[in-house]
Amino acid sequence: MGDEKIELLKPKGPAKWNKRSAFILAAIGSAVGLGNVWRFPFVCYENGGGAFLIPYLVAIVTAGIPLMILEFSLGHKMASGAPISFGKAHRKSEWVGWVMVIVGFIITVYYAVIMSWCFNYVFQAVNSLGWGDSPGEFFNQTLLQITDGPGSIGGLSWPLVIGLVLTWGAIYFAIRKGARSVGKVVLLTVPLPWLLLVVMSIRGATLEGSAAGLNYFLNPDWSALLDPGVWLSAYGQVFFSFSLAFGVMITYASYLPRKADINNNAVIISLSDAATSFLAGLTVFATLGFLAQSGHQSVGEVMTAGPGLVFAVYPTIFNQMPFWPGFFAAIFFIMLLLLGIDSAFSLVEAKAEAWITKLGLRRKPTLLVICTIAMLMGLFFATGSGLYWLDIVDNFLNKFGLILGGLFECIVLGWLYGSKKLREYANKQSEIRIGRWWDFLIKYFTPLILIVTFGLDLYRTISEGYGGYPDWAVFVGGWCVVALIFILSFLFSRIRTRKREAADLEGGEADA
Amino acid sequence: MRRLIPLLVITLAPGVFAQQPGDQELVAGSDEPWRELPDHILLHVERQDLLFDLETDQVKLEDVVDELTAAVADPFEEPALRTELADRLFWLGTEVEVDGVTIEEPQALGAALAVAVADDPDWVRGYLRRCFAKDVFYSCRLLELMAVPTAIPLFDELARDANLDFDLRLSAVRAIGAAEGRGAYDRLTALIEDPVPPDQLRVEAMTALAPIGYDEGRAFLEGFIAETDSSRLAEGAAAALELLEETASMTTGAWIMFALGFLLLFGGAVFFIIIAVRRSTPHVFSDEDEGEDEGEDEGEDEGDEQR
Repeated sequence: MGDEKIELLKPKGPAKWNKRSAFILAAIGSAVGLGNVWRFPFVCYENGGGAFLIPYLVAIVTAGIPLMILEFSLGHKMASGAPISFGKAHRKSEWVGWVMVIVGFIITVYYAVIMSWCFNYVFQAVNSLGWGDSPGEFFNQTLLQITDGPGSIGGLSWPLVIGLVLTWGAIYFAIRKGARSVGKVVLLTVPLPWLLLVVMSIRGATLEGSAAGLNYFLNPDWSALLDPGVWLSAYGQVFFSFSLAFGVMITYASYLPRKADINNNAVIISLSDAATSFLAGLTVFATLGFLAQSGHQSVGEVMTAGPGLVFAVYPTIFNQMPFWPGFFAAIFFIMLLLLGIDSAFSLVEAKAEAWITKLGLRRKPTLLVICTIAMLMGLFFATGSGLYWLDIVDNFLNKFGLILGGLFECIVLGWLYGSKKLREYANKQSEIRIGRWWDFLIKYFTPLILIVTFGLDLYRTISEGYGGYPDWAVFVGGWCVVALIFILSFLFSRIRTRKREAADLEGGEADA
Repeated sequence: MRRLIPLLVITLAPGVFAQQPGDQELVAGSDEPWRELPDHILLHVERQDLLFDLETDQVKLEDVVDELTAAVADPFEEPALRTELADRLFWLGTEVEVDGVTIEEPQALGAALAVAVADDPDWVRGYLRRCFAKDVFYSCRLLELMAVPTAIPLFDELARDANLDFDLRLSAVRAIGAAEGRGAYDRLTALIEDPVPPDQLRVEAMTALAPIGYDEGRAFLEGFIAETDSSRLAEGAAAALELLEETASMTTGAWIMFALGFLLLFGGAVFFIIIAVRRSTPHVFSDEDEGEDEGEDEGEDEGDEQR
């Protein structure tokens, strides 16, 4: 009976990537998401246009790639998901890993709702541009059925619920067999949106007015380089875009075979993500140039960031496009869907792997439970007030949950565990080597950037509130959610692992 | 994917929150429209108190800018009270740097009038005349700060008013261009073609047209150059065409940054993929199955040691 129990509790090792390309594609798929399309171009435009590329590249080299190497080294060396890896690195630091995966999990809950918006827009695109002449109104009133504030919850939007079910079905399908199924899915979901992005960029470049848009995007304003805020924005963009501090890269690296490169993979993945952002910027601004010229406006006037860009401005552009607007609209929203779905399932995978490893659970039932719970939680964001709550929660998770997660990561791995050990481990495995400068970046430079960013955000949020929302809504959707994440992280890290229980049991029987 | 939503509500939701004056039951032509709306009676009284407090220095102007802006923008407010409150905002300047020089401009009043002009252009017209009499430079800045599409007919009227100070007329033309859109384009081309306004004003209209003209504007200006007999106007149109070219083709700076971004990001990724292909086995595009975990679990062992 005892032996049988031990056998049941002994977890099977997770599947490994069968090809290096599968790992690289999966990591690129996780890093590349909707933010590359709707955030990077705007950040670039706001911070000196083409001149922003200089601080952006510096930030990639000094923060993006080093942090990615850090996470890959940890995941690969410890061969576990984020919480267990942190627990192995330093006994009392498992909670840092839990902070990461819980932040990632909550983001997935509402990210899936955004995917659901995309599903609906794909349907509308093929349905003769069903958003009509007022895409903004369609988005707000018809699709979201938006209420007048976060206090007025409103009813469920059924098209969103259907989209949500489809999204979670797709996520479950993609990760049901771990690295084995993800490795297959990303062969389609990473190159295809890239191909569609290239198609869209060619279409954008051939539209009238595209040059005006590209000038807005690329014309350098060198004076911006003297502004410290521009440099902080560059680091913020890199940090937010590379799927760092979510536990995803740690989990994915844990699926690598023992003899696998770390450093070069990190460089390839980082540059690919940045290149995607750049291509998306070219596409977005070329297309915005067309919209500007058709309305006799400047590009700055039609430029907007976030979902407003893709769910209101872009449909307006498709309405005015001369050839095959429905075709290009469908391509665009399918591209968004595919860009987003990789990021979504990578976050769920990080969470699922953490639980499976921690408690020795069976993969498929665990996944099913996690996906179902997340989908049910997501229903809240599919109500009339969902957009407001999504905005508040997203803002706080990014500003505080993620930044703090990244900061603690640097402290635990750089100081408590020792960056030197991870550097030596990474160099032993890799095609290119990193020097002591990497230790400096992990121990001093990146934490400093994160502390400054955190401090500024904290000051602004406390002094100005957020988004004009009522204080109670910011408290509940912002501060309480962040506090809950840290409380849950500490609680989860206190749960005794089944593996250890099994070991105790084994030890007890041997003694007997 | 991070920071998904900032600006979203600002971008999409204002239409949801905006209360349209047309929705209210307002008796057209009423002298005291605020009396028609019970809520506004109270608001009106509060604003009168606010004016009294300002006059008696019981409150600081800087502390009540939002209340003043709301009152000036409110088409239901009593015109005389609006005027009194707007006067307070007129001299409340915000420092800005223009071409390296720091100047003050009435941003708060400009924002309030830009809103007010949509529902009550008559009051705004009258109030602007009052401002023109106070200070021309400040009024010029004020006009340009009010640049919204709904104000274009008013700007057009001011630009064509021969009795107005010429600097104000030029500012009105610039404001039309800054308001942007099809309406602005049509008004500017009409001004350029109109032989009545002075040439300098028409040249200013050409300059204002350049950033929003695009292909249609280029064709218009080229046609204008071919037809006009005035060398001054032809020169102005040629200068505007040069400006317009910036929207028609990519600048050298943009090309350089495009090449730099492309080379470093795409080139960089390809370069490191080539390193991977040449140094590693199996390489990036290999189909070779590396199989399951080889050897002992080094990480776990080390991790256990840590414990």
